[in-house]
Amino acid sequence: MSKHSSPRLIIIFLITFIIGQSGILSAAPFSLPDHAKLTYGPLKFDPPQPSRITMPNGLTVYIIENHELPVVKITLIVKSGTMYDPPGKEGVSELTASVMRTGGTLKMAPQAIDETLDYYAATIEAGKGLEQIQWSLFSLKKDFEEVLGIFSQILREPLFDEGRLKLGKDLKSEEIRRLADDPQNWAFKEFNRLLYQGNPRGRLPSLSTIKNIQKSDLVECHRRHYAPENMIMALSGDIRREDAEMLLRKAFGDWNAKGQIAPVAAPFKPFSPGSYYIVKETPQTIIVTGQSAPKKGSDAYYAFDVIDFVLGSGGFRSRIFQEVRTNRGLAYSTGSFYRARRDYGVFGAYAMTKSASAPTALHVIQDIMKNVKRDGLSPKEIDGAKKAILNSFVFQFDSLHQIVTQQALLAFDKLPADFLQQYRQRITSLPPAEIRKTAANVLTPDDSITLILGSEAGYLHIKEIYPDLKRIIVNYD
Amino acid sequence: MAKLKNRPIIIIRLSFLTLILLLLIFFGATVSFAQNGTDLDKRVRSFTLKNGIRVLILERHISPTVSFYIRVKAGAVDEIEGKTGLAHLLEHMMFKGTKTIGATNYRKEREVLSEISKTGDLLDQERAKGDKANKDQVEKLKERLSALQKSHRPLYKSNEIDRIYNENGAVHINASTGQDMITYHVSLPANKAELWARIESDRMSNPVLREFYQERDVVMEERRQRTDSDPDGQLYEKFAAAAFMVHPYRRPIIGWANDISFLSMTDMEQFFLWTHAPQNMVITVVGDVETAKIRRLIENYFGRIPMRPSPARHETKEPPQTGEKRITVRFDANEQLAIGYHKPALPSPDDYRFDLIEAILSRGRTSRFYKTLVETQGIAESVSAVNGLPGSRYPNLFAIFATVRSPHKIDKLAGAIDSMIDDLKKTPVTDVELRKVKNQLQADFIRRQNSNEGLAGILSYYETLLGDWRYIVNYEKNIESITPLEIRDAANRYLSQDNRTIAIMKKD
Repeated sequence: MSKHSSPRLIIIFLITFIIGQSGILSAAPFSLPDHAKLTYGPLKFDPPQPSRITMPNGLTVYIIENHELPVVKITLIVKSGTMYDPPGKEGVSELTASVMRTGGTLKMAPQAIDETLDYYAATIEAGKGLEQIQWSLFSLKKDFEEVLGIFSQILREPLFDEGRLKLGKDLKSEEIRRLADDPQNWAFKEFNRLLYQGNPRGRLPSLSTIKNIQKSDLVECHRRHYAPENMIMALSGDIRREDAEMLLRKAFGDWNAKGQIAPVAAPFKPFSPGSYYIVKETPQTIIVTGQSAPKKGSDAYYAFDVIDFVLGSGGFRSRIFQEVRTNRGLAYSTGSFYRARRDYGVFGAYAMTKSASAPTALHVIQDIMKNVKRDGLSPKEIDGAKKAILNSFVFQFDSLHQIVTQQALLAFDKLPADFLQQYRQRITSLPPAEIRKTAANVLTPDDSITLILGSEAGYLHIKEIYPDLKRIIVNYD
Repeated sequence: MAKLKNRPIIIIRLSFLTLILLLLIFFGATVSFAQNGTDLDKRVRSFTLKNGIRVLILERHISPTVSFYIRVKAGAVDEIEGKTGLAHLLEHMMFKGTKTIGATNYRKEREVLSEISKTGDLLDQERAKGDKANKDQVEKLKERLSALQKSHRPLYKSNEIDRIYNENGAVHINASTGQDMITYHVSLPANKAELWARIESDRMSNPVLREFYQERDVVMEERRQRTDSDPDGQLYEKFAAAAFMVHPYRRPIIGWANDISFLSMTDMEQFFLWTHAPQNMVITVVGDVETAKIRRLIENYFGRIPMRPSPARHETKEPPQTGEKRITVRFDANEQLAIGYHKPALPSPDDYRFDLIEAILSRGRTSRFYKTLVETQGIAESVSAVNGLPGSRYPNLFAIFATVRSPHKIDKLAGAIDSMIDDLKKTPVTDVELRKVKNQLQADFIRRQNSNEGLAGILSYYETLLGDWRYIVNYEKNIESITPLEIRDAANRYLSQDNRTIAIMKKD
């Protein structure tokens, strides 16, 4: 008990203590109830709605007040990313964002920005991305106006200081040089390259493309992508909505830049399956196998989400995890993933296992896929997956910043604002026949992209079982 | 303080997304905290059950969800020689169900499990003979073990705990093992608190060691993935082993491969009984709950766990280091290094000083390491400082990790880091620089309070480590009072050449 507690609280505590104790003393010795027979009260659940403003220049902002802590947060989603990088200049979108942050602005030198932000313990950072770049801002409430001003300068009038550009290029080059040091990271990068072959999404930065990039490329990338119509903003924090709106209009209202983004085609037209092997002398083999999958919000999307859950993303009971890890002890990391986007989707499965068991692990995963394609899911599995998805739905609204960011992301993807509510209804009413049909139509275990990364000996061994396996040599020069 | 995010821990499952992020647990940005105006000291309720379990409750009504942390003050550091990895494997086994969860016929199951245990022991005894093992005997025992596992299968439902939690909407179902403690945590919709109490109070007293030998293999794969195939994992393991001569902090949390492969069910039962005794346990609940109700629930469910003896722990003290240690780690990866200096643990005031030194050296773009080594000299790709490895219960290390930038050589980088340490020992930090890092530590603390998990994590961490969660409330005061001269003085007392270990990863 806290010695700072008020007397009233102490009294309440004494009472509850007595009630708690007497309950135990008067009743029979407590025995554990059957967990399946526990009953639960209703969950009161009414997430607050963010307000939305659209400025005359096209910038849309979602705002939600949050007075729990004296801070303000912004997430900004920008239509930029490596898939827009011109051939030979792969890496330019990432460098543009990072040097916007580090390279100074018309009004502030690079060093001054760094020092101001660090002194206020504020952060403004850009992420990396394939199809979008997310910026984040964090500031204590008391410094927010000034930090927002810096953010506005960074977005609107970056200077791309040559020294900071060189630093950015050098660091990116070192990252590329070190890519193959980490087998997991390397394998997933190369899997993506193969999966998206023939599409701009499959092009990766290399030492020469980074070397090729000049300041003028960054200026051009900024001009094309950083304009109000190409971004959506989400703000939450300890600030009144009207005040936030006023500050945002001051920072961005007179920004009249027009972007110019050439559309990028969706991948997988046609999908080109194949199995590939990269040699790295490492005690564990990494297997990633994948294919195209339903796009977000399509009719098959809901059923396939359930299928992915049961196959390998729905915890220890999901089929791949249960069989590869629990039953056979073949891997620590194994399962499936489903990434659905506005105009396409990707589904895959993975396992990391000692070289000797790689063929078995791959075989088990393929077998599971084939079974689900042929027979669909059991009623028990469907019921379990639906319960899990619906009961955990509340966690989609666990924080106010999450709520406001979610709305921004939906708007960015041009999905309806009530997409999540619709999603919940679609999952609830999903008929088993639909799941069966989707499994049969979508899953193509015989025509997938498979990447295996492991030792030379492992290659010779698995090649005997999979003669079509192609050994590939990749470098990042 | 920087104690949570960077603490090396091993967790039971990795999601696809966290695969890559995991490295951050080792070398990521540091997270620290200080008091602010959120009145935690008035809002947290704490009490002790009759059996010794400490309980912290914090109401937070942001959304109808709640986060539960159970921490046990026992970890890898408490294992005995030759049984490394036991704490971590036990943490995995705690997901295998109880006498009433996952059991379909426990009486019969118990007999089969006892046979599995005996057969596994015989098999391990034979395997332990290495080249002299009787191969026929090994094969025979393997077949017997596999037959027993098959006959066990109809007697239980696998992975029931995870299934029940999942279907009831739980997220972040996970557990972790560190040198100092084992942690079990889960978040649930707020109306499902009783389910948590039902499952956790049961597994904290009645775990059943199902699928033990399969899980031992899973952990061998985990070791291959995180240590044997990963340059950061490799370097860190060898570095810690070199830095400590006798203290158990020298051993990897996941265990040495050969130790893991001989861990037995009997070892585990004994280890469980004393480590998970109620007096070693801290329960923390943060979220949309009513304190009185949740308190009753905890008293009902956890109050019945019987007290168990927990033997006095002996600490093998690390003798003072009397000269620099240098090791080379050959690995198929680009060069990087780790440097560690011995220093005292909390509650020593020096620990707070090293939190500030950590931030001065490596927090943000204006930190000394970044500005000098990455930006100006261009010889490093990354440099980070971490206060308090491999654990915080016992005297530990102030560590520096760095990756070199081509075409520079690692020795040059090591030399440059050295001269920056010298600066720290010679010149007191300026008031502006000190103010900056104090601001950062304060803001970090505020950030962490924005989720149920974050709050439950820090409250339970310090309650378990120090027996007092109020460490975080007093943190700002303790940090604020530190002067530039005290920092210089701490640097001079600990950051000496004789007190350090350097591990360098080289390709050839």
